[in-house]
Amino acid sequence: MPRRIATYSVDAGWSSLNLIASVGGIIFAVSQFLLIANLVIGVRGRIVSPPNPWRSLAPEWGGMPSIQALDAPGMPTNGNGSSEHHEQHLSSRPIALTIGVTLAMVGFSLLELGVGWPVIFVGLVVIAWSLYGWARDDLWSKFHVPEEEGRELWPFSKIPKIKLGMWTFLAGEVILFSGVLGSYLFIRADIPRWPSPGTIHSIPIGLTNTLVLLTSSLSVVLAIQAIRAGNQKRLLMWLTTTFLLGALFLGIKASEWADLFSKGFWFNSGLPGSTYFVTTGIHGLHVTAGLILLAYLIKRTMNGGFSKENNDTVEYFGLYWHFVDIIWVFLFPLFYLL
Amino acid sequence: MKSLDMFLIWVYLAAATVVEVFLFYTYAGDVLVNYAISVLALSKAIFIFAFYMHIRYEQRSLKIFSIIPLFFLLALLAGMFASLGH
Amino acid sequence: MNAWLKRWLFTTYHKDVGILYFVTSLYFGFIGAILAMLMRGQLAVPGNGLLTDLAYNQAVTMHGLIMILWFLSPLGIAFANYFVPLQIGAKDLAFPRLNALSYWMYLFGGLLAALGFFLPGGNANGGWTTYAPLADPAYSPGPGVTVAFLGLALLITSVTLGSVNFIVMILYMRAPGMTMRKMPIFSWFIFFTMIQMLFAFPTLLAGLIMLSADRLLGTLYFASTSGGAILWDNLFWFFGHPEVYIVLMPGFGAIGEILPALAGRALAGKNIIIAATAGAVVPLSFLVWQHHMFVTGTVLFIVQFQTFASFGLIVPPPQALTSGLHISVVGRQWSWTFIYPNGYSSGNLTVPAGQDVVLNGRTSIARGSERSTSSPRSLGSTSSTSRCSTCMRCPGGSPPTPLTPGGPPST
Repeated sequence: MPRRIATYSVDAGWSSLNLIASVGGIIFAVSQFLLIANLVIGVRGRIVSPPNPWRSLAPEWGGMPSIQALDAPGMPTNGNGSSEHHEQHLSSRPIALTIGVTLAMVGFSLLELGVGWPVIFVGLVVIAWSLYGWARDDLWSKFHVPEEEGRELWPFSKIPKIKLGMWTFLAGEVILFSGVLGSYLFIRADIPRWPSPGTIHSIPIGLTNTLVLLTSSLSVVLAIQAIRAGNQKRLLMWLTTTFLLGALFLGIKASEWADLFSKGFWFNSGLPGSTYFVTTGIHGLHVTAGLILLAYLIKRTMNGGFSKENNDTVEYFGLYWHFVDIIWVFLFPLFYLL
Repeated sequence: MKSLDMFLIWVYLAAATVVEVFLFYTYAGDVLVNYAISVLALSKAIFIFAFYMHIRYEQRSLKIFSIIPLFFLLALLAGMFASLGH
Repeated sequence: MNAWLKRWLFTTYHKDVGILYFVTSLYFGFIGAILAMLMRGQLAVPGNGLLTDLAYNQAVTMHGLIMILWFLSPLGIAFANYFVPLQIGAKDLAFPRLNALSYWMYLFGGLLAALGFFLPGGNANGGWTTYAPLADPAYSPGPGVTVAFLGLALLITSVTLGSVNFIVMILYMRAPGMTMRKMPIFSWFIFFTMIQMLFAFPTLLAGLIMLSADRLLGTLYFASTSGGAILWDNLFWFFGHPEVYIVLMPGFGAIGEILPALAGRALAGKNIIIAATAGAVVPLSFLVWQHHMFVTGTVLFIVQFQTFASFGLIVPPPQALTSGLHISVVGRQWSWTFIYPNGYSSGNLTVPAGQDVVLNGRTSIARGSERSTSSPRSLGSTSSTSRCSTCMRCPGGSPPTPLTPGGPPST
C-alpha cells in the first residue's frame, strides 16, 4: 500500500491489513495509559526509596563521592522540594518575552485576514516591555546567579563563561547565514539570467554603507580599549559613535529599500528582488538587535556600570557587532559587485 | 593591541573596499576580477575576525572552537553545489 | 499571585524546568497520538469519510512534526535539564533565564503549531518535511499553515538557545575533579546532541525564514523553477539528517546509564563509545544528508560518496554501545558474529542507494526523496527525475494545479 493516501478503494485488497493495523493502534494507545498511570502512582506513592537504591556509580546518585552532586535524588533534602532554596532564581521575563513573540507571530499569520497589525503591535509592545524589564534586572542586579570557584575548565581555562557563550551563539549564527547566503549562491548558479551588477543596486551607496559599518567596528574596538584604560567618558563617546553609525547604516539601507520600492522593484520582482530583500532584511534585523543591545550598554555606562576591572560585557557586544560586520563584508560584493 | 594598530586595520579595510569598487568599475567584464574582489572581501573578513574579534591573541582552544563552524559552512555549500548537476 | 503559580511560571531552576519539559512533552505526545489515532481510524475501512483528504494530510504532517520535534527531543531535553547539572556537579545551567526562555518558547511554539488547525486553510499539510514548493502559498494557502511554520521557527530558536546553554555548561561548569573523561556517558551524549543541534537547526531556520518570506511577502525562493525544490531539499536535509541523531542520542546515553546501573557494573568501553561517536557520528552526520535525495538526479559521485559515508557513519557507535552494554550486563563478551549483524544491520539495510532508486525512493533513509524534485509544474518537462506521479501524496492522487490565477512567476 502506498504511503500517505487518505483513503483507498475496496478492490485494492488492503482492507483487512489496515483494519488489523488500526486495532493494533488502539491497543498501543491504551497501553500508553498504563504508562501514565504508572508514572502518576509512582510520583504520588508513599514509598520513599533509600539513597542510591540502584547502588549506581554515577554522580547524580552520589556514587562518585569525590564529585559534589548537589541535590541529587538520593541525597537528603528538606522534604518538600527545592522551591525555597531558589527564590533568587525566579524571573518573569522569559515567559513575558515568549508571550510577546507569540502574539507577534500570530499577528503576522493573520495579516492575510486583515486583522494582523493590531495583534503584531500588542506583541511588539509586550516584547519591548519584557526586554526592558530584563535589562533593568541586569542593571540593578536583581537576578543573581552565584559564580562558582574552582571549576574544571579545560580546555577553556582562560575564557570567561559569557565569552564562550557568545562564541557558541555566533557559531549557530554562522550556520544561519550560510543557509541564507548559500541559498542565494545556489539560486544564482541555477538561473540562466541575472541582472548585471550596478544596474539595480547603487554601488556608491553600498560602498558608503560598507564604510559606515567598518567604521562602527573600529569605534567598538576603541570603546573597549578606552574602558580597559579606565576612561568612562571615552567609552561613552565611542559607544555613542557606534550607535550613530549603526543607525546611519540602517537609515541608508531603508532609503535604498524605499528607492527600490518606488522603482517598482518589490519582494516578488523575480529572484533578484527576493534574495536581496530577504538577505539584507535578515542582516538588518541583526543590526537592529545589536543597536538595542548597544542602547542597554550606553545606559549602563551612563549609570557608571563599567570600570577598568568590570568591562567584559562591552567586549562580548563587540564580538557580536564584528560578526554582523563580517556578514556585511560578504554581502556587499555578493549583491552589489558580482 | 594599540589604538594605532586598530586604526591601521581600519585603513586597510576601507582601502580594500575602495579597491574592490575600483576593480569593478575598471575591469567589469573580466572573470578574474570577480576572483580578486572575492579574495579582497575574504581578506577583510579575516582581518576583522583575527584582530577586531581578537582571535589572533586568544587561547588555542578558542581559536579552534571559532573555526569549527566553517567546516559545516563548507560542507553545506559543497553539498548544495554538488546537487546542482541535475 | 500564589506561590505555586509563581514558582512554575517564573522558575529558572534546572530541575523545575526539566519537570516542565517532561510534562509538556508528554502532553504533546498525547496530541500526536490523537492525530495518529485519527489517521488509523480513517484508514481502518476503505472509502472512509472520517477525515477529508486535506484533514488527513494535516494529520499526517502534524503527527510527524509534533512527535519528533515537540515530544521526542524535548523528552530528551527534560532529562538533560534535570540530570546533566547533577551529573557534572554544576548548580544550574550556564544561563538560567535563557533556559526558562527556551522552555516557554518550546511550549508556545507548540501552541502556535496547534493553532494552525483552527485557522482558515487548515494546518500544514505537505508532510513533516514540508517540501517546497508544496508549502508555498500557491499550493498551501492560508494563515493556518503560516502560523504552524512560525511556531516551528519559535521552537528552533528555543532549541538553539538551549544548545548554547548546555554546551557552555558542560564545557565550563564542571565540578572540581570532573574531567571530561570522567563525565558520565549520558552527559557526553547530551553534549554531542547539543553540538549537533547548534549546527543543524539554524539551517532549518534559514529555510523557514525564506519559506515564511515566500508566504508573507510573496518572495520566490521556492516557487521558481531555478532549483527551488532542490534548494529546500538541501536545506531541510542538512538539518534533517543530524536531526535523527539528535533524537537518538539522549536515548543512547540514557541506556548507557540505566543498564549498567541495573546490572551493577560500570559500562565497558565507555571511552571507545565516546570516541566512536565523537569521531564518526558528529562530524560525518553533517556530510551524508544527500542520501535523502538519491532520486533527485544528483551526480553519481555524490551518490557513491553518500552511500559509503553513511555506512561508515552508522557502524562504530551502535557496535561499540551494544558490545559495551553486553559486557556490562552479561559480564563477558559474546561472539562477534552475534553482536555485529545485530547491532547495525537495520541501519545499513536502508542505506544503499541502488536499492533506494529501484524502490522509487521508498526505503526509510531516503523516505523524503519522493517529492524532492522540481515542482509539479515541471511534470511535463524532460526532467527524468520527476517522481510526482508515483508519490501520490496529493489529495486525490494527482498533483494540484496552482490555486492562484496565473501561478507564481517563472523567473
